[in-house]
Amino acid sequence: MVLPRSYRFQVALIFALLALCSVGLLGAFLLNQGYRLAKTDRLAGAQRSSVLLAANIASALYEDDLWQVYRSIQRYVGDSRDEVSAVAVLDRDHRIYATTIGPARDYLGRPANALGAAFPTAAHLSAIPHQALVREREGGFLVASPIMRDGEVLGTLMVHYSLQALLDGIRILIRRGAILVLCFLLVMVAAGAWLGAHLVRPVTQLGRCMGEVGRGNLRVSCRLQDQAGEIGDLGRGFEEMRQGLCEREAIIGEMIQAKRLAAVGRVAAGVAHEINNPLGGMMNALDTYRRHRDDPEIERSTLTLLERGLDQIHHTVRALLVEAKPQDRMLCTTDFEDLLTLIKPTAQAMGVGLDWCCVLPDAVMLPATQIRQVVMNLVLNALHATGKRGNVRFVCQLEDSHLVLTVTDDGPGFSPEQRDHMFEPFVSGFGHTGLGLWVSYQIITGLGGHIALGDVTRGACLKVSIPMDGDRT
Amino acid sequence: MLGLGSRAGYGTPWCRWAVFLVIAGLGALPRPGVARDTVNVGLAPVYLDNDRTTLAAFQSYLERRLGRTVRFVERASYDDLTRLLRSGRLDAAWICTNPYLQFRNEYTVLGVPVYHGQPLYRSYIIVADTEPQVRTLQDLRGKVFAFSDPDSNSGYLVVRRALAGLGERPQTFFRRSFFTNGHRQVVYAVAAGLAHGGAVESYVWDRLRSREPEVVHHTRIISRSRWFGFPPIVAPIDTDGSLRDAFSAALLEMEADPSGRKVLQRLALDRFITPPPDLYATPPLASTQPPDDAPASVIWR
Repeated sequence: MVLPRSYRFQVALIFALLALCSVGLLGAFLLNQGYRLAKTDRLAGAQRSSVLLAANIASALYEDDLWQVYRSIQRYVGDSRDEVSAVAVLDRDHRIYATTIGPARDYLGRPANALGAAFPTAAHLSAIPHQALVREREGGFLVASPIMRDGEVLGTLMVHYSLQALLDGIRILIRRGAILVLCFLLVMVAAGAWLGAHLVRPVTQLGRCMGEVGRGNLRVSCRLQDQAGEIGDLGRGFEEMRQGLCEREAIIGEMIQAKRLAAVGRVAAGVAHEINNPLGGMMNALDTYRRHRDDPEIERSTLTLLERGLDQIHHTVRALLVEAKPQDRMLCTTDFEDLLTLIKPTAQAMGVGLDWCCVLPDAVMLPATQIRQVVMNLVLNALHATGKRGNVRFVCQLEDSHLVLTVTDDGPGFSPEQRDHMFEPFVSGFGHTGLGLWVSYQIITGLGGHIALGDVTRGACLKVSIPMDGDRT
Repeated sequence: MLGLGSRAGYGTPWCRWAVFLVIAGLGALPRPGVARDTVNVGLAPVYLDNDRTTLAAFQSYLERRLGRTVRFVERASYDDLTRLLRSGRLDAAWICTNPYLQFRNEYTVLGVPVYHGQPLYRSYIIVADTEPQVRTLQDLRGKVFAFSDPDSNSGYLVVRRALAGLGERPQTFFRRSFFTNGHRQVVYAVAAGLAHGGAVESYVWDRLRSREPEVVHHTRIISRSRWFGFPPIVAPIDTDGSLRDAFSAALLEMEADPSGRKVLQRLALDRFITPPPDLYATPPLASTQPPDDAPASVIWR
């Protein structure tokens, strides 16, 4: 059986079913008992009234007053309110003296079996000389009583009582009971619906609150913790969970802040280091020039040194500035072929196997220069990390409107420490300048994509996904 | 008159009360020769036995005219009523023709009803409407037949005489015959299917037809007898002369009296008259022993 999912309807339905079952069982039991009792009562009553009728008609039968006998039994049938279906009076010879079965004139003087299957035959009657006999026959029961006067049997009174009136009464009872049950069911369904809604309301509220939490709104208030019972327990559990999540959120925020500060510090230190090195040389050169300012050779070499130092600083600063180039052309398959042509000699020189697999349409709606830079950085990083006799695999493909680049190598992989700082600038171990992954990260996030470490058992796997219609920054 | 009060032993208060009660108890029943205020009028089980309103109107009329209390006495059979009348316990009675003729010397006729312009009635033989093949009395051979009373002219003797004319007796001609002690009941018995046919007085059948058409509808007349003098209201010859005259005058003047006229209307009678001398002059059927020389064709037409 398929129940509706909502508890509100389930409770209403279960209420109705339970009510129907209880009322049905109880009703059936009561009807059965009532029918049995009424039947027993009717049998006893029939026997009594039959004996009484037999006594009443005895004198008339004795005086052979057919009209009186007939009137008595006819009135008895009329007064019985359909409980008596037929009455017959037999004489001493078990022949029909009078009957209410019509037309009576056709039965007078005939043997008892002419009355039909509901009445016993003469053979049966001879067995009941002095007491009322009750037998169930033809949808009712038959009471046969001897008609006696001064100890002498004058004949037999046979009354067939129908159980139809009783059954009709039961049917009326069932009909009225059904209407009552229907009303009761309606009330029970309404009560069930109300109770279901009442029971489900806190659960629904909790579900709504959970949804809010899922969407990141930890300030949601469910107000269930003040209730008693299981719902209160649930509300308090939810509140504890919410508070725990709030604390965790705060800790994570603090950690991110601390990490950011640390990263900024490391970037500043790297920048300072990168600028400080040429600056030191330049300061020395200027100092030398100040002491030998008349020497044209010194002057020339000082200027050269200054130029190289400034050039280095310029390169360092320019590398830190990742610029968006909106007028860049679209990426196409030849870009990847160029990249393979550029990288392949390096790989061969380094003794690294390069597996290049690129399946793309002719044009992809992404800036070619930036993607080329990302691919170059990642593949060269992988080649350096792998070392001799290693293998690097590069795959590019389109998945759900995303350009997906995967670079896998079987080198030593990333240490936990490296994982934490892998996208920061000037981190050693990622390219010769320490800016390769940082630059790639900037470009990818700038294009609305993301880069992450993939799961591999050996080496490293970097997976880049860039939406072709993502928000560019 | 009883002289009980003069005897020793009855002088104590208890005995006086006992004697008083006995006399009072005896006085409740009409006794001959005792002066009393109540006029006891017997009614044969033919008329009015199921019409209490008409009975009350008739009683009221008589009481006003006689200036005395009138009590109607009903009995189940003609015989019972005849016995009461002859024993002097009734001052008057509306009896049937045959009981009148049996003891006509003991009665004075106070009035005879005029029904449909003549003081006559007759007997009908009716059958159930489910017996279309029965057209004559002979067709009822071997059937079940209902009579009204053994002393009834129209309800028994006429048929008995007719059967005698055929050389038959009711006990042998019919498969089963029985008495219902009333003409109305004969109609009921036939309509209910207890009897194939029955003998009934014409006045009763006519009255029932208008009052209980749903019953009479199930019966059909197959034969009508010749006319007989209508059942009279009689008084025993020893009834007080003034009462007899007053009673007779009350009957004969009913038509002229507004309340009396209403009673007549209720009874569907025209009036009461003094019977013509020859009204009951041909009483061959009055005898309980029907003569053998009267053929059925003479009686029925």
